[in-house]
Amino acid sequence: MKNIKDKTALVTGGSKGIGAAVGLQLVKKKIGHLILVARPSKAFKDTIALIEASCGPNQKVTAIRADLADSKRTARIAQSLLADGVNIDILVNNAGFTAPKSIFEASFEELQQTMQVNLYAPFLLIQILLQGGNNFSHIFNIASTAGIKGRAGWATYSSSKAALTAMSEALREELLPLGTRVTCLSPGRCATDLRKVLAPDEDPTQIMQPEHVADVMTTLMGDVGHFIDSENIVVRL
Amino acid sequence: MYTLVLLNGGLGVRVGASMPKQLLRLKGVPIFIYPLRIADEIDEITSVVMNFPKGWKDKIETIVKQYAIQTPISYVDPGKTRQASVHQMLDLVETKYTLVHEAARPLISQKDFRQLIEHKADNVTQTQAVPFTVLQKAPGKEQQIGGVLNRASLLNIQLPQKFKTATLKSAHEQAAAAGDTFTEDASAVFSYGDKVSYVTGSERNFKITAKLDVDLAEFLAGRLD
Repeated sequence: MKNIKDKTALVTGGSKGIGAAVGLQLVKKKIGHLILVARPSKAFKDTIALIEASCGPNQKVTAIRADLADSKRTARIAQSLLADGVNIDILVNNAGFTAPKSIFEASFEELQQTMQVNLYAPFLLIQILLQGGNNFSHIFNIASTAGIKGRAGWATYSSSKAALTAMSEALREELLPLGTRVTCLSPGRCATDLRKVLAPDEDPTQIMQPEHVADVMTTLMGDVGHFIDSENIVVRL
Repeated sequence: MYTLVLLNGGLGVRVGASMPKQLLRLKGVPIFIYPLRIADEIDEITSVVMNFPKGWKDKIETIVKQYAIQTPISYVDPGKTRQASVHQMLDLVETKYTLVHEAARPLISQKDFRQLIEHKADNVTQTQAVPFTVLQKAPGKEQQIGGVLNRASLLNIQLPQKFKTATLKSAHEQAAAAGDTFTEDASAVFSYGDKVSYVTGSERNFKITAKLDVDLAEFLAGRLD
């Protein structure tokens, strides 16, 4: 992996699961500034404390408490970073929402909220930062194998992740000539809180752990990643 | 410090598109944005002077804003000829050195500009080898060959170029006064007695002239250099 001590990374959905794991990995790899975005919670507080305890003297962690289901709040995050002169080198769009229900039960509002967190928030963060002059070196969009094949009860979630995968493909082409890599990862079954909502009866110890996905991401941040990330990457145990 | 004089006023009729070729898109991004993004990455380039195809100024200014180009840009009306355009654009150049480039060469890299900036000579042009055999026409004799040119002794003049601004301005003043016409600026600077050095540039930095060139540039834009 390249030297990231002068780099800034922003990870959404940073309180738990894959977001927290990748945040910790980046700090261990000596990132200069880590910004985690998540809704306020005890878990977020604990994660920040854990990551801060791993920080060296020239490393900084910033917590932004925000709900990405609110598009105005999402836009304000990007606008504040620009106003503060912070350049995001690595963006990890990891925050995810799901309310798995059949088409008979799901509400339009749930579809909107799923799209808002899983698709519109990444779009807004990337667009506002780009239009404000931010130079990304690497954008990760965390999609899902659920976006490759829909499953009964997951219409809202699967469609949002399929859209995120397709958006990543378009952005990969658009931004490569401008010097930004766009990597789309689609984890399969991974022991996160979101997975518990999707599959409440599953034993989380028997499936892929968030740290495994974080390992894949830090590997992809190296030059070798160029040879791998030309397509959506499935990560599964 | 350097000003980038970016020739962006052409209509590109040979490409046969419904809009000037520099507004066509490679990988979704307008062609003229590519050199501006590269200029943004080079600290020595502190300003840009750019012209625009007649009637397209508002569109171009909007796109420049959307793509968050940071280097300050001055816009100049297109001149009647390429030479007249550069002459007009030079009026707004205040830096000691000028880089001349054209929007129709979108695949320029930082390295191409750096090669000129770091060169010790005041006036430097990018070149390529002449990839074909050239013969001279016999003057006054219809369809007769009159001589052989050794291509190894010839240069295919490319952009970008670097000039000491005062030298380039003086060449344009002299050309205007004498009514001389030049198709590019190294010829003008050389013709009025100044030295011009040359370097070999990157082949990726080719000029989009025809439809086929747009397709090739689109392909190359999707590959890392």
